[in-house]
This record gives sequence, structure tokens and C-alpha cells, in this order.
Amino acid sequence: MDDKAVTNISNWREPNSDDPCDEEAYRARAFANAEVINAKILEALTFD
Amino acid sequence: MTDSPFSAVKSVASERVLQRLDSLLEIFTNNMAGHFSSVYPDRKLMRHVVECYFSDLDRMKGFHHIHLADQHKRAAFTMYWIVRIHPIQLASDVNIKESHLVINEIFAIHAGLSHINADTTRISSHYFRHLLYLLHFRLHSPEMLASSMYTLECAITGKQP
Repeated sequence: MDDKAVTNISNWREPNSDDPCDEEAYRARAFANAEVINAKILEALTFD
Repeated sequence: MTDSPFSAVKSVASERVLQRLDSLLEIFTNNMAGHFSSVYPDRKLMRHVVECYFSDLDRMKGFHHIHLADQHKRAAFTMYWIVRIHPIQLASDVNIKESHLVINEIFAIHAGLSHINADTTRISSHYFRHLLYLLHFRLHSPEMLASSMYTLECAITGKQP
């Protein structure tokens, strides 16, 4: 058996890349969604 | 200390860590403080969350040759480390309700889903219940959660996954 490496991931790339995190936008999204998400989570906790 | 599992923290600017720490504390104050009684964020545990988040993500980026982590990975790794470390603590006088049992999972949802650049208010309460259960009982890997976050974003935006 050839003594060669069988795993060559050097050319593999994660296909799903993105922009760097904008910290201000992150905080703004959290603030904007707070009320609705809290309401839905409280609703989720009362399902039976 | 080059072989420390936390050496990766050195690869991110400490200012970045502190910014994220401030963001998480702000999210707790704005989103949860007025809704849940007898709970508080522990600053050191929260910093531990942030350091683990950046260290873990940094290792993954190195292995997979990822330059920038996408929104789904940021969401998943945030949620994963919050529910592992439990930075939200219960006060000693707490009268425990169901929401207290999953208080860190609730915080993880607020902090994690805010990384998703889509209208997360469109998510149903049924999905939130499923997500709370997953985070509380069954979360083993942030990588798989990231995949789930990608599918969730597609469902919200109507994009074909």
C-alpha cells in the first residue's frame, strides 16, 4: 500500500461565507426583535 | 502557553472580546431584565462565554479554511456556549417558574438569533418551543446547529436552501 496521505482538504472551501460581524447592527437587531421574541417564547412555554 | 486551548483568544483583539461582552450584557438588559424576575448576568461567566465562542470559532475557521464566519455559525456558536456555561444566574430568593429552568436558553435565543440577518420575528412560537427543547436537552454540536440556522434563514426569507 502506498504510504501517501489520503486526505487532502487544502483545496476545500466552506461555500457559505459572509461579511464580518457588524457589532452595532447586531445590537440593533437584538433590540428590535426583543418584544416579539419574548412574547413568542412565553407563548411557547405555555403550550400543552 | 502556546498549546493552551484558549491561545486562540490571542488571535482576536481583546477589544473585540470586550465589544461582544458589552453586546451580550446589553442584550440581557434590553431584552430580558424587565421580563424575568430574580435573574442576573454574571460578568465573568459571560466573558468566559465570549472567550470560548471566539476560541472555538477560530479553531473551526482554521480547519475549514474559513476567512469569516457567516451569520449562521455566529448564531450557533453563540447559542452553544451560552447554554453550556450558563452566564445567566438565578438569585438566591428566586421562586422558580418554568421560564427560570430555561433562562439561559431564552438568553441564547435572543443573543444567537440576532446574528441572523432576517426577520426572526416571523418565527412561530412552535419553532421557539422546539428550539428551547433542543438547546436544553439535545444540543451536542454548534456545527449542526449552524446548519439548522442556515435552513431557518432560508425558511424566513423564502430562499431555496
